[in-house]
Amino acid sequence: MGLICKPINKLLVLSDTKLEVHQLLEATLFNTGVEKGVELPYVVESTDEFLVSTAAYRDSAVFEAELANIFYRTWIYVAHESELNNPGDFKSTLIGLQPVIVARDQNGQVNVFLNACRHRGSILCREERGNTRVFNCPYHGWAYRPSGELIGIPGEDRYPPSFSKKDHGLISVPRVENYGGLIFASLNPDVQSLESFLGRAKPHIDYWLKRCAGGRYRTGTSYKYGYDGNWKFQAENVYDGYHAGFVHRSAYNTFRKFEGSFTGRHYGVVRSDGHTRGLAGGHGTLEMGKPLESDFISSEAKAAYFQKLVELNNETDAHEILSNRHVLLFPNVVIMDFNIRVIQPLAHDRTEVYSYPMLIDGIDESISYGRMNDVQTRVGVAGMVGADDVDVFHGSQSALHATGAKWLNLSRGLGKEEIISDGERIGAFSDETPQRAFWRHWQTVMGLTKEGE
Amino acid sequence: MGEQKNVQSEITDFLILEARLLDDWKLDEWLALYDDKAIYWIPIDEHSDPNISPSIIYEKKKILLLRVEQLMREKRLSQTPRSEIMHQISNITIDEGEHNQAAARYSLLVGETRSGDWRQNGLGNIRFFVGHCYVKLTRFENSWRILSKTIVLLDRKQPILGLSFIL
Repeated sequence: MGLICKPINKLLVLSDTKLEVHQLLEATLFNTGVEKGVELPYVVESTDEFLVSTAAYRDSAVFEAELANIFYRTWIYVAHESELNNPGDFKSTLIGLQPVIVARDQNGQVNVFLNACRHRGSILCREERGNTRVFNCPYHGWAYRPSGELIGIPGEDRYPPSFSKKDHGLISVPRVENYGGLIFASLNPDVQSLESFLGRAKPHIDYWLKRCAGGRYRTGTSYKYGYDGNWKFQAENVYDGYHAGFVHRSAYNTFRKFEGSFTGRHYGVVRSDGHTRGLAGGHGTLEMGKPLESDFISSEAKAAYFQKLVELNNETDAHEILSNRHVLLFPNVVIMDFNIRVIQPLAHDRTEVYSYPMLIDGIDESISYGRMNDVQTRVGVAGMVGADDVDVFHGSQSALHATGAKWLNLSRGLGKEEIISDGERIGAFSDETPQRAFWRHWQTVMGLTKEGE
Repeated sequence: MGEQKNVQSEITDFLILEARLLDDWKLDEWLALYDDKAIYWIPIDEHSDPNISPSIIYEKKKILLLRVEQLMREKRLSQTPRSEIMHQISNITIDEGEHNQAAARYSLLVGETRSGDWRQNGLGNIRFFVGHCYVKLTRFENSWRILSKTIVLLDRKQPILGLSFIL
C-alpha cells in the first residue's frame, strides 16, 4: 500500500532562501496570489517569530495532503479496549475519512478493517456500535466474521473455480496496537511501534492510567458536537492556556458567584501557574500544576481516593497523578482530566468532536459519576464552558476568507522556553509551546522540511 | 368533568407560558416555574440511568441557576449576538395523576438563529431542535410547577451544535 508523500509546497528553508524572512512576509502580506517564482511556506520559524500560513487551515488541497501524509500514515486512535469487552463487540469509526470497523473476534483479538464489502463495495455496517457473530452485507448477504474472514457467499456455485473466499476477506488495517487500553491503528504497515510513536507523551499517559488506583477505565457514551471549521482549530485549542480568561469569562464569573459549584475551575485574566509542553513527534501538553477535582464528589470520597493513590504509589506521585493535564497525541486525540476527546475531521471545513467520559470501575463509583457530571456540565454537548470555544472556531473559519491575511502568529513564549533533551520544550501556561511542537512535526510528516526533527 | 377540563387547559396554558418565557429570554421567571427539587434532562439514551450514564444535560435546579446566571447577567461569547428563539409546542396530551400531580407529553419544535454578521459561520440560518417532551408537574399555589422536564431530541445520538441557550 505505497502512499507517495509528495510535498504540495516547497518550504523555503531559511538558509536557502534568497529573500530574508521579513522581505518574504512583506512581499506577501497584502497579496492574494503567489509571488512569481516564490512558493510560500506554510510554517516560518526564526529565533523570535513563529508563523503559520492561513492557507494551512483554508486549502482543501492541504486537507487532502493531511489525509495522505498524516491520517493514512501514522497512528490514529480508534477505540478504548473497554468499548470492546466481549468477542463480537464492534465499533464504527473513521481513520481520516476511511470508515472502519473495530471488532473483537472470537479469539479475543482486536481487528480493524475497512467498512466495505469485497463484492460490490457496499457498506457493511450501518450502526455505531454493537455485538455480532457475523457481519452480513445488506446487499447480497456475504458474511464476514469479526476477524474479517469471509465465511459465506450465498449461491457460491456461480463463481469461477479460481475464486476463493480466502482471497476476499475484509481489507484489514495493517497495524493495530494497544497502550494502556488505548487502541490505535495505522494504515501504514511500516509505521514505527506505538510506544516509540508515543515517545515523551508516555509518562503523561502513565500518570493518567494510575488514576485508576487499581481499577480499570470504562468508556462512557461520548458527548458529540460539530462545527463548520478546520480540525486544527480544535486541536490547537485543547492546550491553549491563554484563551480561557477571555473565552470562558462568562462561565468563570458564574462559577465564582456559586461557591462550591466548580471550585478552582476559573482563572484570572491570564493564568500564570502550571505550564505547557511541546514534545517531539508533535505531541503537547497543558498542565494545570495541581488537581482539579469535581465538586460533585464528597470530601470523604476524595480523601479516601487520595489515600488509595498514596498507598499504591507514594505521596509525591499521588499529587502528580491527580494533577490535571491535557495531552494531545498527534494528530487528533486528547487525554484530558476526566475524558478523552477525538477530533474527527470530515472535510477541510467540517469537524466533529467526540468526548468520551472515562469512568473507573473498581473504585468508589462516586468518583466516576461525580467527574462525569462535572465534564458534562462544563464541556459536554451543552457545556457552560465548551460551547464558547466552538463559536471561536466558527469565527476563525470565517476569518480565513480574508486571504490577504496570510500569517497567524504563534510566537508566544518563543525564546523564553526551557529546552530539555529529546526536543522537549517547557513553556508558561499561556505560551504557544505545544502548538509549535504540533506545527514542527506537521511540516516534517507533510514532507515540507529538508531534515526530519 | 368541568374540573378535569380546567386542569387540562390550566396545564396547557402553563406549558405555553414556559415556552413563551424561554422565547422572551425571561429566564429568571422561567426557572421560577420549576420546583426546587426539579430535574431537567436532555438524554442521549432516554432508557439510561442519567445518574450513571452521559446525557446532553442532566441537571438539578441548582445547576440551572448557574446557566440562567451565565445567560442573563454575564456576556457569553457564544450568545453574543444572542439567539432568537421560537418554541413551538403541539400534540399535547395531559394525564392527571393523584396527589395534585400531572404528567404531560408534547411535541417540541424549536427554531433558533443568531444574526450579527449572518454571513459568518455559526450565525445566520435557522437551526432546528426537534423532539418529544415529557413533563411532570405538581400543583403549586394557584398554579403548577415542573418537577421534571425531559426533552428527547430526534438527533440526540448525533453531534449537536449550538446548545448555548436554554432549549
